[in-house]
This record gives sequence, C-alpha cells and structure tokens, in this order.
Amino acid sequence: MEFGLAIQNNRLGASAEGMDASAEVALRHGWKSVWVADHLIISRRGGPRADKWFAQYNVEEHDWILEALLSLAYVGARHGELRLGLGVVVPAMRDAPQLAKEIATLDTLTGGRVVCGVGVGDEEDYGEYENLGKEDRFRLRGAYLEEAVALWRHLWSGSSQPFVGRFHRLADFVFLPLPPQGGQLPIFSGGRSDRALARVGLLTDGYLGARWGPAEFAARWPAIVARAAAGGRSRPYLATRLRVRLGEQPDELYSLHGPPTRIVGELLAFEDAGVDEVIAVFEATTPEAIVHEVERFARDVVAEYRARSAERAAATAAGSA
Amino acid sequence: MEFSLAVQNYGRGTSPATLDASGEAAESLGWRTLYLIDHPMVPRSGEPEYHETLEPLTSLAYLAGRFGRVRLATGVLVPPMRDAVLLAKELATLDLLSGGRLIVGVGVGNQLDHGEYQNLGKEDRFGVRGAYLDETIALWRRLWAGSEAPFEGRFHLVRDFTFGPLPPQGARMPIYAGGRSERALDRVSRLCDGLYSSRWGPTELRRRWPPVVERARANGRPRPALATRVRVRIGAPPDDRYSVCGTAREMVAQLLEFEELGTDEFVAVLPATEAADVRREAERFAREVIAPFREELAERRQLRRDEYSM
Repeated sequence: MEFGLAIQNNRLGASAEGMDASAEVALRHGWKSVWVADHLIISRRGGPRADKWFAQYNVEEHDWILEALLSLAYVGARHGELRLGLGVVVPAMRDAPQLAKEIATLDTLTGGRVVCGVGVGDEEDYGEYENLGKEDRFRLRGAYLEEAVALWRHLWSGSSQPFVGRFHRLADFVFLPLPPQGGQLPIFSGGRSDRALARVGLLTDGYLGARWGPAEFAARWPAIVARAAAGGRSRPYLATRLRVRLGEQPDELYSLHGPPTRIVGELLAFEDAGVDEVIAVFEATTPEAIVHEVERFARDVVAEYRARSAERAAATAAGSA
Repeated sequence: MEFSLAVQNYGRGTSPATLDASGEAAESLGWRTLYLIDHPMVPRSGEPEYHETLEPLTSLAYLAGRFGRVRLATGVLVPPMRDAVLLAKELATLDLLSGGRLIVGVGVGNQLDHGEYQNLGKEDRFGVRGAYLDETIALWRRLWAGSEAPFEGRFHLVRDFTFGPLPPQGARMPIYAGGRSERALDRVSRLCDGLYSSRWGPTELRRRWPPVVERARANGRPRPALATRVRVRIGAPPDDRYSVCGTAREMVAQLLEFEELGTDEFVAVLPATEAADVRREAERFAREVIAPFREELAERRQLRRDEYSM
C-alpha cells in the first residue's frame, strides 16, 4: 500500500505554512500524495436534520477552511512529485463547467498530478448548499454529479462536439489547454451510500473511502471489483482516509489508535481487503505538530508495516515457487 | 507611477512556464503587480486570443506559491459568470496564501461575452450582471469583515454560516472595477478602490478619469487608484486600437502623459506568450522605455524644484 497525507487545509489554524510543512514531510518520507478537504461556507447549525455529531465534528472540522483547489495549486507549485488529491470536491455546490476549467488548469500547472475525488455531501450539508445559492440542486445532487463527470471527460478529452445533458448544454465552446492527463484524469467517488459505491468502476476510476475499518472494505470491495470487471473496466483504485491517533484510546469513529503493533496489524488487514492507498489524517495543524506526528507515524508504524508487508510478499512468492 | 505586467495566461502556448517567466520578470524588474484575465470558455467565434486560457484564480495560487513579493491580481474577474459566495471563499484563500498581496479586479463583460455566460450555465445572469456585481461587492465586504449577520440581497440569502479564515486584508481588500461604460465608472466611485482601465490612452483618460475622482470625493470616498492596462509595441506604428508605440522617445512621451493624468500603475501588455519572449520583452521595455522615462521624470521634478526655489 502507498501512503498519502491529508494536509490540513481545514481545522482552526490551517495555514499556508502548515500545508507547506505537510507536503515537505510527506515527500521526505516517500509518501505518494497529499489530499485536501472541501467545504466552502458551512451552516453553523447544520439545518433541520443535523445531529449532535454535526455540532461537535463538522463545525469543529470545517468552519475554518482554505479553499481546496487553490490550496492544491499552492502546494503543487512548491512541491514536485506528489500526487495532489481533492478529497472530495462537491460539483453540485459549484458549477461543473467552471470546475472543469479549474481542475484542468490545476492539472496543467502541476504537470498532470491531480486526482479528483468527487462527492455530493450529506443531509447535514443542506445549509451549505443554501448558503451557496444551490438549494435547488440539493435533491438532484447525485444526478448532477454524474453529469458533471461526463461533462468533464468530454471537455478534458478535447472533444469539440456539443454536450447536451439535463443540467448543461454547451454547443459552441473552446476548451484549451487540455489537462496533461486528458480524459484519463483520475476521478474517484467518495461517500458511503449505495449510490456512491455504485458509481465506482462504472463512472469513476476509484473509490475514496472514509470512516470504514478493514472489515467493511473486506465485505464491500470484492463486489465492486467484480462489477467493474463484468463491465469490461480495469480494477478500480481504492484509497481511504484514516484518522491516526497513535497511542490513544478508541473513540466513536474508526481510527488507527493504540500501540504501533496494533496499528501495523490493522494496516496489513487493510492491505488484505484490497486498499491501495492509506491517507493518514492527523489532528495537528501547526507546522511543528504536523511534522512531529507524521515523523512519529512514519518511524513507529509505516517502517514496520512496510517490512512486514515485504516479508509476506516474499513468503507468498517463495510458497508459489 | 509604478509598472505592472498583464500576464499572458491566455493566448496560444500559455503554460506554467509563461507564469513563471512573468513572475521572475516582475520580481527582478521591481514591477508591482501581476494581472490575470478570466475567460473560462469562450465560443469558437469568440476572440481567438482567449481560446486558450489558464484559469486565473488557480494560476494566482500557483504564483503565490512561487513568488513572495509581487502583488497578485485579477484583471478582471467576472463574478456573474461564477458565484459570489464561492468567490468570497476563493479570494479570501488567495489573499491568505499570498500573505495579503491580492487585488481583485472585477467586471461584467459585454455583449460579446454572452456565449461564454451560456457555456458556464449562467445565461440567466447576463441581463442582470451589473446588479449582480454590485451586490457581490457588498457581500464580499461583509464576509471579509468577519460579520456573521445575515446577508439578504436580491441574489443572495446567507443566514446561518461560518466564514474563516478571514483574508489578511479583511474588508479592505482592494477591489478595482474594469469596464468602459458609465455604469462601470460609477461603480468605481461608489463601491470600489480603483479603476482598472483597458484600451484607453491619454485622450480618453483626460476626459473620463477626473469625473470619477470627483464623484468619489462627492460620495465621501478616498481617491480611487488608477491602473491602466495598455498594449506596449516598441518600434511599431499605431494600429486600430490604442497602444503605447513608436520610437522609444515617443513612448516615453506617452508614459509621461499617463503619469500626469494620475495613473498609479501602468499595466503593460507585452507581445509575448512563450516564456523566453516574456523575459525578453519585459527587459526590453524596462531598458529602452521605463529607464529613460524615469530619468526624464526625475529631471522634470528637479526642474520644478529649481523653479520654486528661484
């Protein structure tokens, strides 16, 4: 498995310096990618269906946030090699044609390093749709997302044919320069609904998970891979965000917690479940704290995981020889 | 009068190397600001130079990551083609990433831009684009000030929200309006911190700028800044649109006119998109025109001081 880092463009204190330090330490430890979260102007109360969790988690996590694409452009301008992940952008809160242009520009400026996670948001996000003047889209957000992906591939592939959909009608346009990755720019679906999972392998190139442990992936992933194969598509890529709380007690949401040996065991279980990339999420926001946490995790956990994983691979190879 | 660069984030061959060369030229020559245009998706029948463009906000974030001194600006951004609340967040982020170096040039486009509004799914905004821009500016100032009071306008209802982090420049973020209509000029005197003019030479500025300054004063607002975007064509004869052109001596004379008319920032449009051309043209303009202009200006000032002291 590869490792990625959720650079904290969100949470109180998120800053250019913090993102810079995150990218630098991720690159130094041979990690593959950095990922940003996307919220724009959340509702403080969360709307009628928000629960206690919303107040505790969503407001704390997202009332202070730097815009996702611009954060990646900034980090991409300063650090080469790293893949730059949107995890996830919500097309229905914005406009798909404008996003097509912004993502294409980001890919051009970073030499083709963009990975585009997409999602639609939950019931609690209705207030944010309202604040953005997009409340009419809320009930159609899934359909809008699916059309956005089709429009993006159309534009990014360089087609000058008209695009006619339910939400978009583009007859006479020029879309240049094309992103270096063209129509192959990887799009991952995020979210835990059946519909989000159904998009994987049919509409999108991968899945961006969150909050699930190895058991959930082991239960759900094989069916998705099988469906993609039945559709004649290549095996989708599986990345997941994982909160890292080294040495801590478990709390109400899934996390990599407890001593290093336990976490190494969990990582091997994720590998067995088919996960290709683990995106580590730390709570730190100051540059010093981020670097400290990533280095501790890299030293105490990732190094041991890589050694164990290589041993298992060698044993399997020897067994089959 | 300071000098700035109209970055060619448009035109055939525009690339990250174009942005890098523009930033390097501006920083090494001591120019003030980089201005980027906004044309996400013009029709095929639209101006060919806007067929190939890099999105300006993404490009400015990239430049913020590469260059630490030069100011970063849109010239101009078109809010009614986008969404004002989303833009408030994007611009606040850009100001933060650049350490408070952002200038926001805004406009609405003209009849030629209708096809682009359509391509972006914003055709309903076209007929109300001026009113939308006015409300956008009010909304931005409110959000950037850190107010959590509800905002209720004709186009926006933002009631229950959090907006952080605030941009370092807060509600004082400079907003310049572009455009040549009376409405655009009126907007400068009512709502904005400056005018971003384009295609105007000294003749138009002499006629149209002083009333803007006067109206701003009547509105109890400080004198707006004047940034003039002008094509620079060293050694070339005049063509169908205004440019600073001719011999170096003639060009210096034209710059002196801009200076006298109150231009704060001369934004040069150079005939260069490829990185090597950007560097060469910027250096040539600095050497052959700006340097003698500054000498001439210093001499004139000295002369005036001498006259007073006699």
